[in-house]
Amino acid sequence: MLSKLIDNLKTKNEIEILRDEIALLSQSIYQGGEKNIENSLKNDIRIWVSETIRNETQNVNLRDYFNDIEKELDRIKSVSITLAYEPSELSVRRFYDFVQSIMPKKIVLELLYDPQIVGGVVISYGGRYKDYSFRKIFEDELEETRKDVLELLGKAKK
Amino acid sequence: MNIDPVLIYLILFTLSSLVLLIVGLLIAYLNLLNRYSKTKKSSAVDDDISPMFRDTEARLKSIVDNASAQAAQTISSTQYFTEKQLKIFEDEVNKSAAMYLNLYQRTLENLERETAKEIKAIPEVLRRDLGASLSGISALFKDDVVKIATEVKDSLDRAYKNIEIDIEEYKKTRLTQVDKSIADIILQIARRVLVKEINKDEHEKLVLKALEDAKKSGMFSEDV
Repeated sequence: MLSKLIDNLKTKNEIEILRDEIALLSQSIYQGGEKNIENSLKNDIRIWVSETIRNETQNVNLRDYFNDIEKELDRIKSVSITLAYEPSELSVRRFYDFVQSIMPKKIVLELLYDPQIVGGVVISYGGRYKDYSFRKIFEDELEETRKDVLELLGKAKK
Repeated sequence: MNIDPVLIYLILFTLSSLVLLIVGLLIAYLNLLNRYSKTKKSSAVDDDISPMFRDTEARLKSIVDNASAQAAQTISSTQYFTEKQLKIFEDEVNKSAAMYLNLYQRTLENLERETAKEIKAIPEVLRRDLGASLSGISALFKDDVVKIATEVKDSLDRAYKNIEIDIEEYKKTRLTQVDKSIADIILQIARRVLVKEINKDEHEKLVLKALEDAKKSGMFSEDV
């Protein structure tokens, strides 16, 4: 069963943030022992993360716990989607829910912003690539009508 | 027989001189005898001079004998021609000389004719040889000229083909650049239009639809 820390992750960016927080907590333990971690949880970590850690580490060795979290974070695969706009949190949730519902294992979304694609999305996962952007549609259409366009341009120039 | 007339005259002169000498000696001998007989008759002292006379006589006799012998020898060793024979000989000599002269002249004329013919034929010979040489040289050059012309033509063809290839490459490159430029322009226009026309909800719908299509195409299958 996955920790809630892992379960709540939706994007690759969130993984990196959590990884930094875990590293910070591990450092606190290393420097001041497990007793020192409470200060870090209060001052340096997001509320939902702190609460989840407190809940999940009541009878668990903190070092082992953090090690497991890091290993789990390394195993998570990501689906890359390139968008022509910057989506809201709600949109991201909807995209994540759709993709996760069809994947057997935990995944996260890697969100990329590229206004050049004009609209639609470019998806990349596990070495596979699909371009559903408007740019691709325009380029394909242009290839088919290239000669006609050049003729038109030539006539327009004259 | 070709005998030089001068030689004949010399021989005749020599003979004549010898005969005259003999005659002179004989006359001198006879005079001497005459004087001797006269002296012998009139003088009493002939016993003192008779050995001297005998010696003189002997010497003279020997001289005369020698001269006669020499004359006889000369006469016998040389040909004695009569005037008629000399005339015939002279005629024969003249005839031979004329014949040889004629032969020499004819030979000279033939030589002159042949030489002239040879000289005239030289240009012809030269022309023939020159013509043959020129034909040979032109045939030799013809092959080389044809070969060179073929090589030049091949080089030009190759160069032309290379130029054609370069032109096609250039046209292709330029066409691609033009295509890209056109595509970029169209995309920029489309973006400007669509950004204004499509709101975030419509964008979201488009993304979800694309994810649906990707799922149907098996993009998210686990055999990755």
